[in-house]
Amino acid sequence: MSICFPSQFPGPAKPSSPIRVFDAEEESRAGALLLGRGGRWGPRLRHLRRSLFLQARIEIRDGGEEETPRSGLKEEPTLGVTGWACGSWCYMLAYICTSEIPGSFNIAQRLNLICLLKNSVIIFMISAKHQVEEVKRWLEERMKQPKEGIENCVLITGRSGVGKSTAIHVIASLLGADLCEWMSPTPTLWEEHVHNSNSGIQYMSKLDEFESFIEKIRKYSLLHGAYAEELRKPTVLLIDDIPVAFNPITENSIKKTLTRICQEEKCDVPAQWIDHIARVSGGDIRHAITSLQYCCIKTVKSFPVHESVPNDTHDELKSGSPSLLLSASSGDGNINPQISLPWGRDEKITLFHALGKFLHNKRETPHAFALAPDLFTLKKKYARNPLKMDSPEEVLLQAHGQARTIMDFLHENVLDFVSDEATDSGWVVNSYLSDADYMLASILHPKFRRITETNESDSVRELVAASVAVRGVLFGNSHPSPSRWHTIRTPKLWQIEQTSRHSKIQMLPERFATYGTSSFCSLSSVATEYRPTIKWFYSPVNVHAHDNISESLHWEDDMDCTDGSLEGKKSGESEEDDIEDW
Amino acid sequence: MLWVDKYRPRALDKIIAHEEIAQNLKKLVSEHDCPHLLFYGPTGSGKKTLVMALLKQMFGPGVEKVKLENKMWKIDAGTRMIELELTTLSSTHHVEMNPSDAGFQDRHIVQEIIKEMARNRPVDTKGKKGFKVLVLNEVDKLSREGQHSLRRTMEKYSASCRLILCCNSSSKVTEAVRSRCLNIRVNAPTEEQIIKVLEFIGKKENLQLPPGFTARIAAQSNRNLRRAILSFETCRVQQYPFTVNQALPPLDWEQYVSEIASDIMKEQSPKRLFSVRGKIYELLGNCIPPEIILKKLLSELLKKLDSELKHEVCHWAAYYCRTIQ
Repeated sequence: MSICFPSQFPGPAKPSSPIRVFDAEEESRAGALLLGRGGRWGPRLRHLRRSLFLQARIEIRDGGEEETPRSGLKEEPTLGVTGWACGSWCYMLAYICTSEIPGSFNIAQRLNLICLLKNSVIIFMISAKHQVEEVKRWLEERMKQPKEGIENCVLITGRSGVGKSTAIHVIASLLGADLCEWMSPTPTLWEEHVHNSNSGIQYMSKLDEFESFIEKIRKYSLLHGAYAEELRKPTVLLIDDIPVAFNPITENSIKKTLTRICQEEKCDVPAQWIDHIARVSGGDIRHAITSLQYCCIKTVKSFPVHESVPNDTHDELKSGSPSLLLSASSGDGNINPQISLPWGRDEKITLFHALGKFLHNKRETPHAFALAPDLFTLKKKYARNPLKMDSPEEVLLQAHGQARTIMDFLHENVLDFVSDEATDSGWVVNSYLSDADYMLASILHPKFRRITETNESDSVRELVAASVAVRGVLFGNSHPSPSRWHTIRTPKLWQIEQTSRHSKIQMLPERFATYGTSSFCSLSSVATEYRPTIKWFYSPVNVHAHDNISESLHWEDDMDCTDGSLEGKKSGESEEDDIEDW
Repeated sequence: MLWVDKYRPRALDKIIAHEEIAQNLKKLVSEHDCPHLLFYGPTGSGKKTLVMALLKQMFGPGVEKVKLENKMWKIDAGTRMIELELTTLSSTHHVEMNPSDAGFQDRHIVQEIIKEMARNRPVDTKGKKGFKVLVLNEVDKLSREGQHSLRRTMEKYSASCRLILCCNSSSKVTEAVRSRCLNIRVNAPTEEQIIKVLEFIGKKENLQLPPGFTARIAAQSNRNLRRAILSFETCRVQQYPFTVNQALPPLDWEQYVSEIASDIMKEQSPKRLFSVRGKIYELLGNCIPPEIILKKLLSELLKKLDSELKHEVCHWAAYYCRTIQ
């Protein structure tokens, strides 16, 4: 048994760690308790006490005999549960390695305890009760009649914080199995390895590492074979971080749990807060509890209660007027993005995640939705299936992408995602991108700027431009190419802008060379007339050398810019609108 | 020295292509004064030649002694100091510059430099206060604000300096600026005029010109005199004596654009769109102005398209030519 804070949850619990009884201070600092291990856990449960996190009352029975709470405390022993945070997606695989069941195990006793545990599970895994039970039943089955091969595996998936790890911890300890957690090591990328190859570190793929881990466990259990009893224990192997889902816990059950905790802790938290926390947590009970704990700190006096007002209206809008396209497409039950708590759970996604969403353009299948008859219908040409994502603006917000960056990336990559036949789609997409670019250019290029315009209107324009670009891409790409693996390229435009700036700087002195150094010549005539001509002078090649043209266009590649004095003058702004949309 | 520069007429009297304008300008400045001037016309039509000849007419050979200056300007813009670097060509009588080089700071350039010039008014031999001439190139590329401040300074300092503005398209110069100037339209020279110039050069260089050779160059030059002379000289470098069927050297970027056009015609697919975009990027990387690419591409496409598509293509070309500005 061990105590730990959620952030430093230990890996596999040590097989014979002593029972600890918490003192009051530790208790208040909130820890998490795990069940005792092994088959002898009757007495251990007695020591389980309240923790600040999830609480459950368990009546402890041992062989049908009721045990009285120790030291006459009113409170019953409780079980603290916390998951082991390992990223937003936490996956586990239980794997039974041993092939023997401890014969000494008292089935009756176990059954009894399972009954007990059911109670606790009901409380912990509110939403996933049946799932947990299933898992447990399965594990039991396996332990009774171990089979060879793949059947000994179970895959548990779900969102972070729903209690996957915990379920396994609890079940394993109930069943008296050894629990070994496979802590997914930091993956060594191949590039990293190449980088480190001189330092003598051997490359080890994740698979190899896993194999050696299994090997270790086997040896380990052999080593402990001396302790005869231990040998017979089945082992549950926990593997986190396998890309595969427990349903998110419903808002109501989170609310119930939070209320419970409040009662236990005698915290006076208004129901409004709880409502709000539950709503914002998005099914992550761990997060919800942490938020609640934060709320309970006395210093937090003001809670942004007023925010619940716009939220309500938002909900009303949603239900009241379904014709609002935006709210309809944003999906039901979504968190209102306008609300953010200081400790809130803000969904963040990376830029590339967002780009992937936009580019892959995943949509519902046609039969999956039915338009309400009272909605105005679009021409078939304009109708699209609903998006399999939040409204694009929301995604943009989550990705914190700058309009310019997003657009450049879209512009560079979108053509890969348009199917080969759909030239028209390509055209529509690009024309929208061009429009968005025009909007953005008018922000960045002061030529169009009026003095009276404020930054505020600029930022609005930027948002609108990004929205036009993204929606244009989503709408226009009506025939996406079948999804496959794509790499996202850096916009070549950036490179071209640099090149163009570079060659412009080189051309600047050249324009004085013309007119017999008595006047300027415009840059464009240097580029389009003087330079090509002068090249003919110095390379009197065949006039019909059509093939070499593309190579010969790289005038500037072999020269380098030494004229630093002119560098500052050419700021990037002049190239901003050099984007062609053909 | 390139023939373009070598045979550039230095005086208004010697101008071949736009004799009439030259004579009118000569009359205009006979009293050593003139209004603000705005020269506009397509590239290679002879605007700058006219301007330089005019300056010489006004101030004598002194204007040809210019010095190139790369000066830092520190401009107090109220809340902060702006530092700008601008290259100017100046003689005792005039200053020439490209205010659009300063990018979005161009209005400061226009204001400050003119102010500075007005301060150092030259005094002529008779003790009379003279004026300076400021030649501004590529006025059409000035930002709107730049043009507005230009208007203000034009009025404020009209006593001490004259402005000569040069641009390709007067439509991009604001009405206010245009109305304060004497607008001089410099047409693209006709093919006959170009032939005349080429033959003049040929005579000076003692070249044997086969019949119809200059006409071919003139036809290919797109009524751009500078281009005609440049390609004439290229021909001379590549092969002399000239032959009747001598191939005229094409401009590499133009050939590249026509390659793009045939790419477009051959296949229309997202993939092709991508590869065409790559090619256009390459042209842009070489500083070929986007509107020139667009124009050339359009003319190449029009050669190949069905007539019912032409209208559509022109429409979009015009649309995007507007949006890339």
